[in-house]
Amino acid sequence: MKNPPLISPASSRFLLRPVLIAALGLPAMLSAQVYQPPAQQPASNSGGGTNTTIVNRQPSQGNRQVAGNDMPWLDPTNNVLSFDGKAFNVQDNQIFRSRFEKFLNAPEATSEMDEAYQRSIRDVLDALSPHKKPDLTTAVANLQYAAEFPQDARLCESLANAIYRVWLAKKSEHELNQINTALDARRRQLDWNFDQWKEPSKIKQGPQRAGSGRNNQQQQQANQVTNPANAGHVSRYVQRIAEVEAQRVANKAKIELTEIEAKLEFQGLIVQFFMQRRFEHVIMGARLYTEFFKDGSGRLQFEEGSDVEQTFSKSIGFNPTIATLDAFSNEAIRDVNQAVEAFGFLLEQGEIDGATRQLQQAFLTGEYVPSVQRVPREDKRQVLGYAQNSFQLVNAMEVKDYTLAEELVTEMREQARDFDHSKPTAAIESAKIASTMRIRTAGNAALSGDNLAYEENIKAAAEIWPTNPMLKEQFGVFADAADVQQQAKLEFDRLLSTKSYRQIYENKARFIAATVDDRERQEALDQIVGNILEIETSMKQAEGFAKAGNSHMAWELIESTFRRFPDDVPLSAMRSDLSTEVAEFVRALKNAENLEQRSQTGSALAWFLKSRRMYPQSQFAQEGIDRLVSKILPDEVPVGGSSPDELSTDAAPVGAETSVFGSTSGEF
Amino acid sequence: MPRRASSGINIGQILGIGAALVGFFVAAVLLVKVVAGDFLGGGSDGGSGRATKNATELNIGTYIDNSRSLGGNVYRFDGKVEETLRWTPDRGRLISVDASGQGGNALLPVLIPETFSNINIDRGAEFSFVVRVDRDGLLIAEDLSQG
Repeated sequence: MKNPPLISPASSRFLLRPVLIAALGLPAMLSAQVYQPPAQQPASNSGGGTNTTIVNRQPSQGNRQVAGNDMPWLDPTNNVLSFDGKAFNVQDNQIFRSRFEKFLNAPEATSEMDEAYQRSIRDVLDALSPHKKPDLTTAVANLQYAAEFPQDARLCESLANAIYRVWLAKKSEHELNQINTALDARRRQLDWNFDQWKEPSKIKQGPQRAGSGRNNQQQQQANQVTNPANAGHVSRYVQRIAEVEAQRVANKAKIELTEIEAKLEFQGLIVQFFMQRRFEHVIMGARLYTEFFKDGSGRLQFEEGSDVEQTFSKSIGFNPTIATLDAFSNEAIRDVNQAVEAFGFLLEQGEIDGATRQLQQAFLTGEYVPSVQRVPREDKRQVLGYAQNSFQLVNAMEVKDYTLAEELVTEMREQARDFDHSKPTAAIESAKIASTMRIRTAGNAALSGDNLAYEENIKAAAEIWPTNPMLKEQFGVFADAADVQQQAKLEFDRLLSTKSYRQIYENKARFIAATVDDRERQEALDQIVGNILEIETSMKQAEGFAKAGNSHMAWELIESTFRRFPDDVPLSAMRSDLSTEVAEFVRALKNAENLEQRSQTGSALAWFLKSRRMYPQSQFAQEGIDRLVSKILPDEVPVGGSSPDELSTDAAPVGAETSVFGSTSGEF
Repeated sequence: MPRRASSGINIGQILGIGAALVGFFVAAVLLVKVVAGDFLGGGSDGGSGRATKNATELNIGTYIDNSRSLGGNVYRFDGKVEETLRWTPDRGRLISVDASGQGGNALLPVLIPETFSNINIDRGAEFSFVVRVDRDGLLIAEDLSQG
């Protein structure tokens, strides 16, 4: 009954990916449309298909040795490639991009030379086919021939050299075996000689009688050993026997060591081919190895605890053998061929995105597989523009240039109808919204004078989307605001100098904002606004009085305000209007005042009296009367101490009018 | 030659001296009479005699327009007491009079000196005033009689 294979094709394919990626030795990018939202996700590279460029997590450098310490190593759990003490993210690397773009622009490998090279490789594989008796001579001869092609990079020559070294090792082993055979014969001779010197009777004496002969023999042996001349011979034989034995053992150890060295050297070359994704060379090497080393195990001697050893042990559960690499290589070639076939089909269907992914996959896995090399340049050029845009999209996302990213997404949607734009679009929109919200918050903070919040939000907006056009616009707005403030101050000064207080009052909100940090102007503005408010209040009151039919009171109120603010035009206009309504009263008052100023006391008092008769509640008339009466008959404090009011009130003989001093004339 | 002997005061001289004395006496009496008539009010009728009779009527319009132009003059007018603007026990009172007459009617301020303190001046009482216009155009009562 045939044993089931240790690795099924499906599981082999499943396991192939990390192993092949590990073997890639080059960073690769497969999914360029992945985005990391700036606000929600910190810079991390922990798998998940993200396309993060910054690798913050430095993998431990301890115990990471693969065939020494100079092989690149990729951790498939986070797609971080470690090489020469540095870490790279394989999904986003300029080296892969440039190699892939170079591949897309390179002509297909269908020239006569390419065909010849492929034939030579095929001949080697056929010569080593396990289905017939291997023809090592033909295989080695074709290896030398294949090495002449530049496509081979002299790898077949390296393989041939490895074979030669194995032959040398085999030859050395054969020679050592011959030496050991001679040493073995020599030892047997020495052993016989030693025995003779130790038991000479066996040589010199014939058969003795049983009775007396036994005693004689014992006596002779004792004499032989104790004889000083014989003892020297015996000891020299012992020494020589020991020397021969030591030489024989040493040679045996050399034989074993030579075999191990040869195996390890051959294994190392095969592993190197595997790492270089030279799968055909791996197959050739594996078949040659089987021919040279027929121990049956073929177990690869990885350093215990190294990453390669751990990867194989974690994935397939045991350390790989040469047969394992052979199977992996065959599977890889098959997988690559399938991907190339899928590329062609998707290209025919116009599904550029899927075709690009398949080609990237094929290129990543089997860059040197003939099917990949034979992809027509015309076909590759069809996905070149899309691939370049996808790489540029990743770059735009990295530098958070979402404007460019959006343009690229739009262009890629036109290029490939199967392009899944949802992720980058969502990422772009999220970043834009977050940045815009931050800018608006900053604007509000600026308006409220919260400089700290303004700076914080502007900084955050710039970090989310550094090329946000609103940032520039916002800076312009604030710069304009500063200009507006300055202009407002200048206008305020101009209006102040021309006493255009009403204009200042009408634009008070603007001037208040502009003079918020200018105490002098602020005080002036406060005063103007307060005065205009007072004027407005008086005008409102006067309007009410006038509507109630009390035009005299309205006029007096306005006149009183006007005397304080004679340069207010609306107040003056209202005063003029009211003066027309109570013209007689106003004229009487004006005559009185004019006559008073000319010291026409009698006439002035007569006019004041007349005014008060017209409007008994007149404050102006009463004040004029009181003023002139005091001038004519000044109050005198009597010696008795009574106040003038008491005197005038108590002593007034005129009816019941009580006092005219200080009272309005309402009694009349 | 012997000096002629003086004959003494003759009759002509005595008559002349006598006539001078009589003339001086008459002049003195007249002067006293005139003075007493002018400054003391002229008798028992309260002083209203000659001044009231001789004063011209006050042109109210002219007065309220330019009272100082009438300064020093004495006028008369009739009016009704409107109110007492101020009263002092020793300097008189200031009243307003609703006057009517030549040039219209108006409320006129009149200062009633203390000399008229024996006269009651009530609101609404009608008087005939003889007033002099002082240099500030104020009317100062010189005579008043209740109408």
